[in-house]
Amino acid sequence: MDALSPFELEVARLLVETLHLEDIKPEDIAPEEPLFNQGLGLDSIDALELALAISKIYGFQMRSDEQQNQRVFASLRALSAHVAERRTH
Amino acid sequence: MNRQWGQLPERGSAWTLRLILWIALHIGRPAGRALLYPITLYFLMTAGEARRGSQLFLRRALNREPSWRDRFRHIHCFAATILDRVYFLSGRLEHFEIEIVGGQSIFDQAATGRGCILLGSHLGSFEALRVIGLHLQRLPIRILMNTRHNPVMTRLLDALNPTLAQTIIPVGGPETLLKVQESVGQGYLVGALGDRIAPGERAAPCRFFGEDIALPIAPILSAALVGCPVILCFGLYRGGNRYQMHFELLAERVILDRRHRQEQLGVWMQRYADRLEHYARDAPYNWFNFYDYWQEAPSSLVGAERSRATGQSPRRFVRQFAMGWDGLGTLLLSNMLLMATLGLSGLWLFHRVWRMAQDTPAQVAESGWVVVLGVRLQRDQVSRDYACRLERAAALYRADPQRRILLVGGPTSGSVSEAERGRQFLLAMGLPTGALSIEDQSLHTLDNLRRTRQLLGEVQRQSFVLVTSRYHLARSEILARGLDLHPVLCAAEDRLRLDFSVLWRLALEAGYLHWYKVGRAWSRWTRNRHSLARIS
Repeated sequence: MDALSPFELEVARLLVETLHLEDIKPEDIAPEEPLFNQGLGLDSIDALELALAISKIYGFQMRSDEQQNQRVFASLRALSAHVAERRTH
Repeated sequence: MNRQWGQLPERGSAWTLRLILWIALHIGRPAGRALLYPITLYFLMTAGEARRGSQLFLRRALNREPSWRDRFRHIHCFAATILDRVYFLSGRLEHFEIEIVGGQSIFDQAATGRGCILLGSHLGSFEALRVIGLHLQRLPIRILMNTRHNPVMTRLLDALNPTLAQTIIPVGGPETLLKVQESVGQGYLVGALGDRIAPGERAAPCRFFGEDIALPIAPILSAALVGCPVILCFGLYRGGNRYQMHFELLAERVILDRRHRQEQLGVWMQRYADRLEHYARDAPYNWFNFYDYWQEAPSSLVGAERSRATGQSPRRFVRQFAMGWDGLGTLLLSNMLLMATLGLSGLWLFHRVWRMAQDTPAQVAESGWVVVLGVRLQRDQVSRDYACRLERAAALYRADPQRRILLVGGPTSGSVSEAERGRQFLLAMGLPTGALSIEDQSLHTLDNLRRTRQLLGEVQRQSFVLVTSRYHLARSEILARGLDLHPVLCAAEDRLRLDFSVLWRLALEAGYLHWYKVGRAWSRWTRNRHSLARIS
């Protein structure tokens, strides 16, 4: 299996903690697996909570642009890359 | 054919929508409202699921067994608000008398320039609420709405009212609540309906009329996460041209502590459920959830915030009830034609239905397959009409044991299918298992016939015997012919017994046929290929 980069692991921890995914370990999340619907099975409520946590920790607002979100929320890898690019702190 | 128009998806209905609009806007609201009576009557007689949903609700809200008048009023109220939507959407608000109760909460909120969640329900007309909010009060409103299942409605909305179209936040996809957050941040009052759960949506248990139900957690939870107020709103239809808008502040802030989040959220949701119950008691005929509202067993939801609703979508019933614009449009057209010909077109069909009921023999020489059309079961038991059909099939079998019997009919009510009950009935009469086949998926006559066509295959289908009640013969034949089936008809009853209930059935059948023929002509004329594919 593909290993997580240190930053991906950090985002995975944030994900598990914020969303209270009790039975999932951050290091077990497959980086290319879909986060929403299939895969981790997250929903719109999770997306909002995640966006709020990201804005608090990394200092930027996720936007609701549909095209962009399809890409950003596609997988842990895509999300981490987006956060790394947009973060202000 | 009870539901065939209702099963048409929304696409391909643009013509019909235009027809409805034309009738509503050019002939006027009084004429439109006159047409509501036959439509309501029709639904009361045919939309079984919706009627049961209505009964289950009214029984609780009225604290007594609802009468036919109550049920008629309930469905009429729904139909009236649907018609009024056309006027609301096209901005013809001069027709209406609108009272606003508790408006200060929402005006104050709008004045602060900060957004909030406007929590509504399927009690009354949410449409009225948002159009009036937008047009009369110029409030910055956006609405969460499922646009995917209803693209034609969406297009109509776009065309009728482009300003309104821009105010919709489509539901579905991870970004939905992010959009809500953004809109609230920009000062919008974001409307959401909080009383129905989509399959897979997160839900929590609440008490409603003293019993458990499940409600979606998203609206109140997102208000808590975004940190904005929640204002309740109910747009009640009070009969005639009167609407009454109620606004109430539910919470200035919904504060949830992470550790007790679930319990605290439950408390807020219960407050919403209590207010919903209050208004539902106040205006019971405004309850537009026409399905068993208490069916979603919330026991499975207890104890986990992440628990999701299972079960089938209530939309199914709603769609069946609302039968789509095609059905409504062709029914209106059918009624108009009846009026224009002073009922002669209906009389002609009545004559035809009656002649077939009287003249069709109860014996046939044809061997091979005998197809028996099922009848809705009564408390899971074979009804008198159905017993009659089954006895006829048994007699045909005894006259020629080479015959094979095919019973068609799905589980239209209760747990067991019509076909299976029919099979048990015939086995009890001493017919051998080998002579009986069943098809237990189809839900109405057209479906029965379509599946019969598949099952019997090309070879057999030119000649088979179709057994059904006398009143039902004309409809069965016309529908069969539409499917290029040519059955030999055999009446279930020995002869046509003419009493009031049979005459009523015959009149109803003539009504169905009138609708069917008008609908078919309309489809051909507008080249609505999709709906034609359904009936041929």
